[in-house]
Amino acid sequence: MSPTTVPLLLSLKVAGWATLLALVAGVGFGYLLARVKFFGREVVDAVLTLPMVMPPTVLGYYLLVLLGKRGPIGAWLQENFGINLIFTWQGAVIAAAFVAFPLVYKAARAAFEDIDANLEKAGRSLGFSEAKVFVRITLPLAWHGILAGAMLAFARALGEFGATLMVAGSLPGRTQTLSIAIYEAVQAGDDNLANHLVIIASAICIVVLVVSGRLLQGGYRRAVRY
Amino acid sequence: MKLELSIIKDLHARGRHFRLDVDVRTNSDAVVIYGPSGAGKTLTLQCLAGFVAPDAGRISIDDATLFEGAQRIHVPARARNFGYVFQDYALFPHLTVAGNIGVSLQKGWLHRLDDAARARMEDMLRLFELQDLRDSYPSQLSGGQRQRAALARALATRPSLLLLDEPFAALDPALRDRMRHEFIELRERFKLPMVLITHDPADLEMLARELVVIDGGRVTRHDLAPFRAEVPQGATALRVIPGGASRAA
Repeated sequence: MSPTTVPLLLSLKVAGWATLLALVAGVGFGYLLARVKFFGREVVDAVLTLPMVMPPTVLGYYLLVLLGKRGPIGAWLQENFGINLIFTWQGAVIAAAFVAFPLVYKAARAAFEDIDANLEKAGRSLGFSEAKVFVRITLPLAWHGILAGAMLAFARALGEFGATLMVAGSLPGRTQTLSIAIYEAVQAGDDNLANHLVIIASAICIVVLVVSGRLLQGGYRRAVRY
Repeated sequence: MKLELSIIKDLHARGRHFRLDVDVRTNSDAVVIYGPSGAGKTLTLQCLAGFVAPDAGRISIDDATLFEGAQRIHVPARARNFGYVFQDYALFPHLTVAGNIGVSLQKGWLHRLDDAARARMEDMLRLFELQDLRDSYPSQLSGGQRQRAALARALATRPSLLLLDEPFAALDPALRDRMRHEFIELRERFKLPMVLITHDPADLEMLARELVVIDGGRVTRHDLAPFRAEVPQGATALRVIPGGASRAA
């Protein structure tokens, strides 16, 4: 495989898995914080948003400390399952997922809060269980907003540099993602490769922005205000 | 229908306190709860529907207990089998008219509509003259069509009681009287007891057999029909003249 496709495919794999993890966690926390009122809710919100504003290297350092061989989580994983995340593509997924998570979480919470509470009450009065209310009413109505957030999260995960480098390093073919490969190409003076990679990265970002914009426009956000 | 509703509910919002403390006992099939906005009408109806749990008291219908504060009984809304028509109709915007009516008839996780459910859905579409609109989304409907769809959805599951929150308020005035007449026909046809809340005197003149006036979270009046509603010029409070007073006074 050419030196452009290897980091591209790796990046798509890492960003895809990271987005999936962020999606599951983001929808869960978004629903929880949108619907359950508890003491210190906005403090929890701030903590969940922190990965978005924190320098990626700082976040990467925290993850390295936690997941490293002597870290509490890393040691436990190593001891019980023989799993090591540092300098692996799975480690890169974890790093990218943390960075991308707040984008899904914020979008999901806003989408859930946007839903007219009467629609869920209507479902209950029609005999829906809480699970049916969520699957048939809440989730379909919030889905466009959540998906738009997931698209942005995917773009963010794809461009992830700092945290990934801290946790997974830059092993060509194994953990060297698109963004890191661009940096390495420039460092090595390989302008041709850098140009190719930069054009690919830019194209993906434009596609993601257009798609997420359309998702938000096509949402029920507008249709619901009749 | 024998309804007993005796509840207390305290609400605190932004430093303001509102107490709902109502006691209603009735045997009527057509109860209208009347009061100005902010009186506690919707809260009362939502407690009856099971959306909101009162702090204390008791709600029972035909000797079936739905809420009992001391014994911590609270039957959830989904198990009460009441139809509820919201003021803005709360139709599911992501589902078509047919979907709105059919969704409550679907069974299981695969959302199957069996033959009986499909027949019921078709009946409802026909009865409410919605066949041509079956594939339309709520945002494409007029006010009157939305109201018909909301009624069709609420009645599809064969509820034992119909609760209506200002069902005519969202319609333009010209349409209101027509819809009230259609509604009366419907009521005769289904023989379904109803509790309706409103701040429109015309609703209680035409629809109520029994009137409960709520103001400031309390029942201020409870009358049997016939009665006449009168809103004196410039006054917000309703004056109700009980006992056979003729409309042509």
